[in-house]
Amino acid sequence: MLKAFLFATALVLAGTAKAQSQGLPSEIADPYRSYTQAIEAGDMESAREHARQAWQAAERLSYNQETTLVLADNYAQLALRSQEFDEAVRAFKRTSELLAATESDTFTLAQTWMLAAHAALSGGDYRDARRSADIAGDMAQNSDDLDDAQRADLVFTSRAIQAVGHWSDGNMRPAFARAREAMDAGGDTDFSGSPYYGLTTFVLGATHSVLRDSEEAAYWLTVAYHHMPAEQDALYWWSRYSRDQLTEREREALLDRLSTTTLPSVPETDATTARQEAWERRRQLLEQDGFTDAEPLRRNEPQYPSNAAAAGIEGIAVIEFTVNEDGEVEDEQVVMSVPVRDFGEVGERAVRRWRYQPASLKGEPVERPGVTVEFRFTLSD
Amino acid sequence: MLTAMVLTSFLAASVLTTTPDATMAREVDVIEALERVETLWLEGKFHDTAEAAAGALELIQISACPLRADAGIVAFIGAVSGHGHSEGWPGGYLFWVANEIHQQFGNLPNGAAELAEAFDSGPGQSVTTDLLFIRSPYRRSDLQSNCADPILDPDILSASPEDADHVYVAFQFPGRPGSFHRSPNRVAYAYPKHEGEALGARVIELDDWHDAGGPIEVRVFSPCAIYPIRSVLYAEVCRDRMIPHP
Repeated sequence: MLKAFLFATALVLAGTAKAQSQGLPSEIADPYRSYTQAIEAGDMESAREHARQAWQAAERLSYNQETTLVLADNYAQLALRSQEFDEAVRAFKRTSELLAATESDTFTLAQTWMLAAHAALSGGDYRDARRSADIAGDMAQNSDDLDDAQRADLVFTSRAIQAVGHWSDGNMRPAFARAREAMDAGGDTDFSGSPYYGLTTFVLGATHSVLRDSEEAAYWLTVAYHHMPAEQDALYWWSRYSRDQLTEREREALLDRLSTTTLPSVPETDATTARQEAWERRRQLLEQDGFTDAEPLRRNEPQYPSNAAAAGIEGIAVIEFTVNEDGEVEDEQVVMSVPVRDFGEVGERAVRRWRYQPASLKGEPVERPGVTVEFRFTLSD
Repeated sequence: MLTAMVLTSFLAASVLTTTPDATMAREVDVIEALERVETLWLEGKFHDTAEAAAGALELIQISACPLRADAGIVAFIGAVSGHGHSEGWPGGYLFWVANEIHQQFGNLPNGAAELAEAFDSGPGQSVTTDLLFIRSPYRRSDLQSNCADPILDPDILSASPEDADHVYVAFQFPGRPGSFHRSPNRVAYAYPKHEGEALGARVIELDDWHDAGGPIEVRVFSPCAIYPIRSVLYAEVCRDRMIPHP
């Protein structure tokens, strides 16, 4: 959705630019001509540099605002495409200023602020991303010249960017609140086509895990699994862990709820298949007659990572390990550590020191693979 | 490719189930699909059988009589013949269907029933089978049974086609799961039966397995199968030469 409106915006502005390119001063016209030639030749790097020169020339000459904003937007789009995020943010913000000065329609203006937010988020400036997204969201909520679908899309994207921004900064509670606002943005509107949908559902799943609400966590992590193919392996595992906390009836209810949700089919990866098979083997083991599971004897919680605490970052880590026949922990691995690795590292160190009463089968100690723990790291208010 | 095809056809089934009156599978098509599964299965063509079985189960699921003995047989055949042929084959769901139908009709032979129970993946357990369970009629408790005469004879599960392109063997490990070395003590289920049991007996006689995970482990000989005997070493047994190659 974001890419679609990005492209649409570019086409509208580029059309205007073409009409206005006649009679431009040579300081602007020359790089602009080079820009259009580079675009036609498919040389985006050269196009970006010429777009920058054309825009800067317009600013230097204090050329008319309509033309300047088109040139700024041309450059912003190309900077974003080439992952020059700071430059993209700067140019999108300038475009927004000029759009506001020229009394542009609210939809175009809010979209441009959203692109600034998207570029800031992509570049890791989460605070700036939240600020720009907030401006766009407020415009959408307070404007009379948007239809319901436009307003819902803008508010969803605004709140989703804020949620992801807060999450990336380790601010769990505001991330949770913004993600919920995103999902509530348009009543029954289906936002599953948005590029931010998967991330938002992930934030909801992860934060519900922190809140120990396994039903909600299982639901949202499942939705995230279907919308974030790149994270499929970890999300398979995490959603399965959440489901293990549910009763049979709750799992049935989960399926009923999922049946009303848009879930694209996701081809499984080799890694997911291997995890699934390992999980099934463990389930067989646990269901054997005479099997008694390993019981913790000594279990110290991990210390809050000092760097994360100092930065006010909250998060969650999931660790999987085997309890051997002597009750010691081995083969520990971090399945998930978000939003920073530190949580997984301290979790891994902590479980190495744990001791268990070993699992047993008909009284004899046996190895117990696949023990899983979730560590939630939250700071008091 | 196979995964994509199967998922696509299951998706097609979901579209169909939304308008059952207009698109309910005809009994004649169900019978034809089951007969095709039987033919391919008895010829030992695993890959083709897997696809045909998945397709036949889809038809049964959207037919007027989903709760029938044939559904369990064809689901079991689909789970076995699809094992190891493609990533993401929904064996857990197929075994679950086979097990559910077996609870109603008791139509799986002993070893097959154990296998289906060991590997069935129940509703809501795994994100990878959600779409199948969401569309499955077998989660409902109001289905009418005995609404169709069985087409498939359960004895076909114990057939021994001579030219099967693969051999499926489910080994049973009775003792001490979790210990590093364990010996399978019997073949819970094999297809083709005679060749599978002979290969299974050979494996059982040769080695302890290193770190066998659960009470039942499956190997598909195509034509060879490997199994772990040390932490870094595997043994291999092949159909054409029953000699291990560590």
